[in-house]
Amino acid sequence: MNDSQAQPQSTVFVVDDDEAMRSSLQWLIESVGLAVECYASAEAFLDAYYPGRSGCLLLDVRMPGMGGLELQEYLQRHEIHIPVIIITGHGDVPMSVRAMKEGAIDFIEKPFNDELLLDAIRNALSVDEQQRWEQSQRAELASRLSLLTPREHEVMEMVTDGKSNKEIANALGVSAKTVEAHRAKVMDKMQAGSLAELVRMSMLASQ
Amino acid sequence: MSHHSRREFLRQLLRRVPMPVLAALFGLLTGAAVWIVIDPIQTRAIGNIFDEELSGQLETRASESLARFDSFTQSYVNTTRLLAHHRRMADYLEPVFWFSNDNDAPLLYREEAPVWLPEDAIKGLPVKPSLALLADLDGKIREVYQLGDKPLPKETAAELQHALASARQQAYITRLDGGLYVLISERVEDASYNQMGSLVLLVSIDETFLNASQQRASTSQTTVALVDSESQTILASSRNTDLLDGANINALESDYVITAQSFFEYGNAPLNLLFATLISRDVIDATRQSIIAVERRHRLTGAAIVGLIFVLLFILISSRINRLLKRVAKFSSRALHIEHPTPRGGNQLLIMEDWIRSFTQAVMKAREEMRARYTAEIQEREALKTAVLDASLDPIVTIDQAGRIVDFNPTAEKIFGYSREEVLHQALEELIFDKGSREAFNSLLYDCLGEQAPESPTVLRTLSARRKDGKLFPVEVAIKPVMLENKLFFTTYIRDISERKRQAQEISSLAAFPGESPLPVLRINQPGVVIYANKASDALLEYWGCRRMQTVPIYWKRLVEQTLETGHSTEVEVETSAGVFSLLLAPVANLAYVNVYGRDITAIRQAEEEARHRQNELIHVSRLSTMGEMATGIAHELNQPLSAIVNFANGCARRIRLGMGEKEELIKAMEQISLQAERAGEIIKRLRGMVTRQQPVREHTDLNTLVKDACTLIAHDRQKLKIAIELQLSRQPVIARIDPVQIEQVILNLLRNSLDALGERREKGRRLLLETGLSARGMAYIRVQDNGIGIAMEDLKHLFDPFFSTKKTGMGMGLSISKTIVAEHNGRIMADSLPGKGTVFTIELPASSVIAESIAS
Repeated sequence: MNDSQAQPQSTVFVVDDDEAMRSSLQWLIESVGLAVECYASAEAFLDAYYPGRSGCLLLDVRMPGMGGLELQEYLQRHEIHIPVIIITGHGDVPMSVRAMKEGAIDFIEKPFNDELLLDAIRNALSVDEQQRWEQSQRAELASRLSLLTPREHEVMEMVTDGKSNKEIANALGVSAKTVEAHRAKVMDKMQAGSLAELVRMSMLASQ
Repeated sequence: MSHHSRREFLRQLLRRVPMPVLAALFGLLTGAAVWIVIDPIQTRAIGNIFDEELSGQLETRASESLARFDSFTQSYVNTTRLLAHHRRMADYLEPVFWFSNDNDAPLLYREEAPVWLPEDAIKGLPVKPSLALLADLDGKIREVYQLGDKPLPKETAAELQHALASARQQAYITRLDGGLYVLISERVEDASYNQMGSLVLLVSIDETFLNASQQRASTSQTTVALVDSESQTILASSRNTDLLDGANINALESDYVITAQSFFEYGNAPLNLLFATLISRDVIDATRQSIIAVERRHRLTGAAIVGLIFVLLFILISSRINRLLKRVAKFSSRALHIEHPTPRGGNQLLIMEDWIRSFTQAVMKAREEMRARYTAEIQEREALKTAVLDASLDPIVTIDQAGRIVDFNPTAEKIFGYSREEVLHQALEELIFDKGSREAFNSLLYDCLGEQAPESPTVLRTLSARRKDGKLFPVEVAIKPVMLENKLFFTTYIRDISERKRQAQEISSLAAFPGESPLPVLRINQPGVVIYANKASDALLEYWGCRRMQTVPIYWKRLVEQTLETGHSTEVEVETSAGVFSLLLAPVANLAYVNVYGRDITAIRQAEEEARHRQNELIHVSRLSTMGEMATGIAHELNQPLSAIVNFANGCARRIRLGMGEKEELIKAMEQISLQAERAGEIIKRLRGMVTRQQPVREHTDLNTLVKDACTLIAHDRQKLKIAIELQLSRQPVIARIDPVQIEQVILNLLRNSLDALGERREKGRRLLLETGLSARGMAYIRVQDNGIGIAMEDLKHLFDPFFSTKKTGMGMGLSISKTIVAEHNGRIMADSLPGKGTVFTIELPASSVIAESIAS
């Protein structure tokens, strides 16, 4: 319930070719107040989905046309990072393993325990949220970084590498005072309160 | 030209006008014309009658007026007599004595009446007399009583002298001092009866008097007047205003009608007077006009009534004509097929005239057509007859009663070698027939003459004929007598049958062949009679329970009929005491019999039976071996509905626990649960059906029927998916010896696959083609072709492997099982596909040449 309030726009996308499975999943997931959208095939899903939408994907492995694994592959290739939960039938274990390797965050075997499924969904949604937050952070940082001059870039890299002002001055062949000035500029442009913060930013940006 | 067109136009105009209207118009015009002619004459005649009547009337009225005047005057005479003999008069005169020499002026009374004149007597008169006088015996006036303004006229004394002296009439009209008076005198006596003198009354004849005299007359237009007959002038009249006294009556003739009468009673009067009655001409004319007008009105009314009757009569007649026209039109269209619509409005007479004219033309035309057709028909028939004679393949010779040739057709010329001119008028029997046949020919002629109805019967006999070159050959002769214009002719048809005889001989020699065959050879005709059967057929005949020239059992009879009907050979197996025979029924359609060739296949059948037995064992074993693999597939497929059930149930539980969810919503979810449970049940049922070992069933089955049945089973899905199914089934039944249930299952399986494949493609143009037939290798095949999404090449290889499926719902068993079933039937199943274009599945099964009893019945 809390989840639904925390992520009002999050949607659980269900892709399964079996009508009964789709409607039963919708029925179950809607019981915890989450929005559900069902698609009979991977193609139908791709037609309707656009990358900006938050949520997670419940994906049946075996489907006519584009299968679950293929869809996953497609999403990876197009850098769509929606968290994927794989639904498998009995005897599809090797396939599920493959899916996990491909980056699915969970897999659930049919018939499934509802708590397990809902926990997995919650988990996936929080991952999605996290991803989205990080992504927005990264975007922010990237915009800040773009403000830096090439020299300031160099200074920032060296600072976050743990080099002292003196070492930097030596390396760049400028005075320590100049480095100090550059550094202050960097701190200001990156809106970093402390060195530790700047280091974290640098790490996040380099991911 | 213009005259003609004007006439046409008039005619058209007249046509438009209905007859009653025309009649009314015509009547009106005629009436007006007659009126113009008749009216003045009539008016004049009436005027004359009126005038005649008037003159009579006038005379009557004039005499009446005179009579009234007389009686009026008489009343004064009477009054005078009364007064003269009144007591008072006598009493008054008793003491009086008049001296004859006494010249005193008469005693004059003016204001007061004299004693001798009782007032009452005077008062009763309508017009008071002007004067009353007493005169003595000498006529001398002694006393005068003046009643009005008029004084005593001076001429009175002289007049009295004269009147009394001559003792003439006591009353007359006289002129005194210019005024006209009635003078009435009566003798008076005193009480002692001494004659004293006379009482004289003078009454002035003026307007008042005359009016009073005519008072009782009803009309006021009449004026009366007294006229002096000598001067023809009016002396006094009843209307002084416009008729001046003294006017000449002749001058008044123009204004008045005047009737003058003389007074007989007053004939002795000094005056010669006429009594005139005047009536104003204006009044007469007015009366006359009014009479004429009344009469004219009566005439008009009469004419109108007659006209109305006339029009009504025409309406009646035209409606009759209308009805007649309609009836005749109906009759002509029904009985004579001449369509001639009758116009609805217009002049019926003209329409009828037009109609009859066009009707006559139509009849004439129809008659012309009929005659032309009849003539054409006769000519056609004649031509046909000639053509038939000329084209006939047989010689046709016509002979007369004496047996002489009348006609010889070209075929006869060719066959006998004579030309037509050569043989005409020769005796047929001598020319054509062999000596031995002549008698027979004559008897044939005789026979056909002896028939009751010589037109119909044809006698046929085989004779021997001779050609021109002397060669003899067998012929068949048919004679038909023909009666033409009371002459008898014979049309003789002669057919060369030498070829036929030769063939018959050949056939009989050929017939020996089958007799030597070690295998059964028979011939059965259409009614099912065994015409021929060789020695080797005895076992078969024994099986049928019939002998040669007897009918075969009903089933076989029907088989023979069927073979003849289809025109195709049929192979049938029979198991007789001597072994199993395969019989090939070969139809000889134009001769309506079937040749039957037997083949002993006892050994083959035994071997086959053995092989099949062994195969059944094998199939069962192989089925058991796939069982294990199947279990996983079933489990997989069961997972779907079970998972759905769990999800629905959990969803319900959660909602109920949280107190959310509408009742209908929950019910729907629960319905889904039961639906999915049913689905699971279905899967299990299918599994059970597969595992149960069944005794293999083999029946002769028509694959066409099977395909049609299967189609009806998918009708619902087909409609839902909007798929057009096309059946290209073999015209003949495609018979195979199969388990119909299993093969139907296979067909259904393929159809389902196709429906799924079609469901994946876009809706427009979804097409499913089903074919059946016999392949060149004698295999019966069923082909299921769709234009669905198709199957990828690498999948095609594994298509028939167990648990291979591209569908989530399928457990990958359908095609695998289908393959097993078809293999059990010694057939095979093949798939071919172009991804994106469609898939073809073909099932091949060994065709049976046997038509099973179940099919035949």
